[in-house]
Amino acid sequence: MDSDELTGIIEGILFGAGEAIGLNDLCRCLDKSPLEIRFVMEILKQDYQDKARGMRLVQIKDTYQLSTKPEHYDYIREVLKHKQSTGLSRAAQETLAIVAYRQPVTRLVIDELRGVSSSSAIQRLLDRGLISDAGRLEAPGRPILYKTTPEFLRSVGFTNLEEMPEFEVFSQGKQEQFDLNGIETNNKQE
Amino acid sequence: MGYAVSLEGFEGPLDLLIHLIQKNKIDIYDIPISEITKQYLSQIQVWKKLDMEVASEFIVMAARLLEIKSRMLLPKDEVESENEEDLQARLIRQLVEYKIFKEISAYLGTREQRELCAIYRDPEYIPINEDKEPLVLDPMALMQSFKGLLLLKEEDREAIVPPQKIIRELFNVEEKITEITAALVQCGQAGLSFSELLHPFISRDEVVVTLLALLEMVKTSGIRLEQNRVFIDFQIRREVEDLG
Repeated sequence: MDSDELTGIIEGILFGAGEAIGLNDLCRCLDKSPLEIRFVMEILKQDYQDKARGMRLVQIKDTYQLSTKPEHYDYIREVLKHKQSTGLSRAAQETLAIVAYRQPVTRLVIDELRGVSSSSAIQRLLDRGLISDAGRLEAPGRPILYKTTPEFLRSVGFTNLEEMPEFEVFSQGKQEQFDLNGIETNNKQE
Repeated sequence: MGYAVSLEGFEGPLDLLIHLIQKNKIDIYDIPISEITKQYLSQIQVWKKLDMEVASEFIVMAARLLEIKSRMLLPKDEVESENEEDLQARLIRQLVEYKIFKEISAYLGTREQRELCAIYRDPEYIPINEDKEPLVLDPMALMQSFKGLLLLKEEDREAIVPPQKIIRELFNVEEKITEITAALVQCGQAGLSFSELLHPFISRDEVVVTLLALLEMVKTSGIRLEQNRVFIDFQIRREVEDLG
């Protein structure tokens, strides 16, 4: 099979599966090397960026999944009567930001940083699968450590943790600039 | 401990302080403690007048502010001035860090709002016939099992004598252990088989309790269970050293 055909097959697999498919599975089923599959994925990703296409390839670590484009949401909602799930509360959002940049982290550190108790926020994030246990800290009381999950990456649209802007971007107040350069601008106004 | 109730949209005392600092257009590294403390306390008074319960974290922060302020008013010797600076420096560090995480949180929030607009398909479950490994069976073993089953059925039939009265059966592991120990002493070195411990009218409960008793005895009172193959009767023996 040539590269075009391979691209088509993979698109079909991703559509058929619905859920995220691992790079390993694709390599095994198609008898291709990770390098070849990654190459095809990049082509597919770029193809989807064309405004004539209505899907996009979402990569989280080494898994791939198709979704609709966020910028088409208003139209899709009209047809599907889709009920958008609600975002996180500010408390949960702050807690998530701390876990994302300080992981693995204990509840005590989060409480300290926020200046308020964060146990209910942590519970909500656990319930939504955005953070998970990352073992225990070898310190008195052996407190639980928390880390972010692949679901967190999906929820904020990052492929991996390395893709997040550096902490210094925020501590130096340069996030505005990063927003414009690094990431597509948010075309949906609330 | 107070719940993380947000009072008028403030996530906590740090959030309120940052709001006051921004409102007064103050440099975060050069906070006029006495003015900020005044505003902070009056905000808490407002909430109290509205009969709102102020989370304990807000009160703790008020105490911290007042401590910093009062130390500034006291005549300074060296040790004390160090202390005062520590308190203030710690508060500033906390505020700076919290402010950064507020920014990150807003940034992630924007991204989250955008990603909430992406729709994913639910996985499609297509029943696919998997190639199963062929099962290798020994016909003789199968026949043996079947014979055993037939035999069991007969015994079962004997056992099912319609009960005239329904008696609540009570077995407990301790009593069973005593019973089995006695039986083992009686039969000496030869040991017992599991089936010998079961009488024809035995109930399922009693079989379960017998097995539990045996497992307990393996752990505590030095017996050994031996079975040549799976799914057949097994021998119960006392450990040799026990026999003295």
